[in-house]
Amino acid sequence: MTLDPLLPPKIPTLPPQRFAARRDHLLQEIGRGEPVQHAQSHRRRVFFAAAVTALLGIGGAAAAVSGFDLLAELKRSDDRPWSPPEFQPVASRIEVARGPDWSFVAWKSAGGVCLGYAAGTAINWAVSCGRSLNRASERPNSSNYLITLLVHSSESASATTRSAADGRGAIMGAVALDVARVDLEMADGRVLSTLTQSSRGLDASARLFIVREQLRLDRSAIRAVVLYRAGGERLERLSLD
Amino acid sequence: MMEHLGDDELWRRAQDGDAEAFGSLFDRYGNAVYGYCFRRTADRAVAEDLTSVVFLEAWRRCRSVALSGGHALPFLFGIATNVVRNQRRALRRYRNVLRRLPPLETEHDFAEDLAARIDTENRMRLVLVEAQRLPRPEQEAIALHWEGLTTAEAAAVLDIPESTFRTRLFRARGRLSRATASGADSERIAPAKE
Repeated sequence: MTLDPLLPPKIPTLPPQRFAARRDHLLQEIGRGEPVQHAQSHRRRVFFAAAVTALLGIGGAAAAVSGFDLLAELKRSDDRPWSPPEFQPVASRIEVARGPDWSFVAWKSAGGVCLGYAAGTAINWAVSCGRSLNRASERPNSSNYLITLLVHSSESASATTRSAADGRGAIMGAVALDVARVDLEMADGRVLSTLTQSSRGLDASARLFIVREQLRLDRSAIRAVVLYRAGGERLERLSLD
Repeated sequence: MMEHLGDDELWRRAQDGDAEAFGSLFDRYGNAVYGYCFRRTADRAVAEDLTSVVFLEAWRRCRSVALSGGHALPFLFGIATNVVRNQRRALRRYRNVLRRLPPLETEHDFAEDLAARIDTENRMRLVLVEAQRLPRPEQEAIALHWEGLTTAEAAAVLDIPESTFRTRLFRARGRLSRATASGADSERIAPAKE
């Protein structure tokens, strides 16, 4: 690819709905009066991330699910007695991305930043939560930049779990704000690269990413996670072997 | 309704408190500002938020500012330049305001569109990688050039003489041309050596 410094790549404009929403928001804020709020700076407690991946099956859920609505399913589970406290949201959950039969959501919880994913059916979903690492910590095998990782394979583990119709699994993560790009080194030799994205409404010091590909059932399919700053500087290579 | 009005008339009305007039300026330049913010950040979500911040700042300051040359875009790019330079502070400052934006529809299939998004963003990021190696004055010069501003307009945005802007742009082009002709693998951002 030749880079022409005089003609950068054409970029799309804002989609009409988003443009209109931004315009409406602007005029509403103008109507409110002085829009500037002085931010309160505060120190945030950060400590070692303990990534917890749990596949929680709730087969036979009483609530009928029309359409694919993972947010609704998670909300229903919040009130159940077995729902772990570290998964409970402290702010609204957001849907980060979705397809016809899959959904990737994120939220802030007592456990830090949580990621949720479901495919094929919204009633079986996976969750992973983690906290930012205190960079002063010297705990071994800890990551300074990867907050949490969630993997959903292409293959069904049992009769109660399903996959997306397109046959793809997903690898999702939350990373520190410094991270602009993630490389996933797979055991089969592939390197899956993706850019991270900020996500409005999450209200957390984290960026998110998702890669949807054919994935083996075994999570050991990921050999390492390599994290880069914008500009290409490698921040960390985290081995998962 | 106000499409026929020039920037200077819309600006005057906005200064008198006419929000719809200011909304017409958003209609006119919202995408240009978004494009500029995206080119500087290579992140769509951040570029959208910064676009909102730029127009909120412009509204906050419009009463104390007279448009130069009767066009609003250079003024908006001037604000955008400062907002991008200090984006973390800007986003923090307007955090509560941005929280009041209603949830926006997610793209229907993030993954299917991902290749196109990543391609666009990767290419932008690669250009930015090289551009970010430039001294900041040259970065800003090339970014405003990309937005199609004339030399005079871009110099006004940066509050520098035109001759200074031309010099910065000339140097930026030269450095970027040499960098992109170096034969490096342009499809991946090169990781730091071990």
